[in-house]
Amino acid sequence: MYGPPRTDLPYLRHRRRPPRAEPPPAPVKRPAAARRRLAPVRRTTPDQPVMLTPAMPTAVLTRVQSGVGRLEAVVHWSQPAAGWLIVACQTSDRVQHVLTPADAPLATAGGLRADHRGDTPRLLVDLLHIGRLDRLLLAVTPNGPPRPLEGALTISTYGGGRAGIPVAVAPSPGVAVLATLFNVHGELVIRAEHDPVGGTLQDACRAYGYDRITWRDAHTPLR
Amino acid sequence: MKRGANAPLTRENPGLTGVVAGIRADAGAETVLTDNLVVAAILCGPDRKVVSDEHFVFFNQLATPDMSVQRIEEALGADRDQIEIDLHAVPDPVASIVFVMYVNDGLSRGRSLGRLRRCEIRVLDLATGAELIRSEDLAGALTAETGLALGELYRHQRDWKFRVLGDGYAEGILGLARDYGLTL
Repeated sequence: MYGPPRTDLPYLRHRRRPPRAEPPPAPVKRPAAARRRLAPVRRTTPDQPVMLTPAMPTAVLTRVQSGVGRLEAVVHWSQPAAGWLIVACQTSDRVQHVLTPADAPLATAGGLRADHRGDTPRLLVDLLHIGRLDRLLLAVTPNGPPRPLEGALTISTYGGGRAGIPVAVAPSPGVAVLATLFNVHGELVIRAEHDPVGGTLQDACRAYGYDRITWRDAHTPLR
Repeated sequence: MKRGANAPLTRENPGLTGVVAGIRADAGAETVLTDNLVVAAILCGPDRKVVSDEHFVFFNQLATPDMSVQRIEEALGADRDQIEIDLHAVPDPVASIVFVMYVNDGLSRGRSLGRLRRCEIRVLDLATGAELIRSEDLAGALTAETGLALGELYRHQRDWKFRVLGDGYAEGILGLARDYGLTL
């Protein structure tokens, strides 16, 4: 009934942990109305695209949207071909791999197809394989010397539902993580990360729990 | 049974409490088509629209919330896919259960149901496995379609009946979703 252990949870916990030097805050009894509530699940439909912001970073696809046709992620740059799209993937048997444009302009692996043939890099996810997909990471890096990366990442369902993520990355030679996707019992959860990691591809992957990849160097996974 | 024909189920079989819809599809050597075929059940209200997104049963949603309709993960016998229906547990708002098949439009494109050599839907008694109804071969009339409504179980007065549909959809699951009100 439940999937394999989640390898990304230590990282998520780490991010939320307060600094050790500070003493733990004294518990404050708040009135019930002031308690923080879980944000409602946001869905997208063809008539109702959603924008994922730092304040509201997640949207959840239904099991139907997560299993019919294909999912398409497209990076719309303000300047043509400003950057590359890099995809890290973990399957349900915890195998991890990375698709980079260094593989080929059109690279296919395990139900994923990364396409860098045009000015707008895109990723197709064949949802027939959703049962074997555990999670995805979508990152970008500049195509050439450091420059601002501006535009938007859109993630579209087969029927036209869409989640949009604004992209505004300051000039950096490193990698910026735009979004992560998690398969939670058949529902794909899309989370905007807005995370300018700034380091190497290896740093970005390790920061998000993709630690089972063998690297030729810090920018190149071993095939 | 030919397209459009219907037959009573519970009136003719008073002890019938559940049925299995079995779908057979033979694409011969077309393994890409075989690998991308998806069978699903759509539980519809009186308006012939899906009751909710949770009432579309397929490989990524194996049962309805009330468990009245379940996809069997490993079909038995020669059927490609089997879907179990507990007739007494189907909620009252459900007026019909439509069985559909479509070609998943993922990374492999350009395949249509016209390449099927054979396609049938049959209804079995859940308790005994006895075959109650079998449709004619629906493959002969298919050409460029990528979606097909195979047949439907429906309420008629206080009984359940079955009708063979055989309706093809050139737009595949998009056309089926539009007709049955499914949000993709």
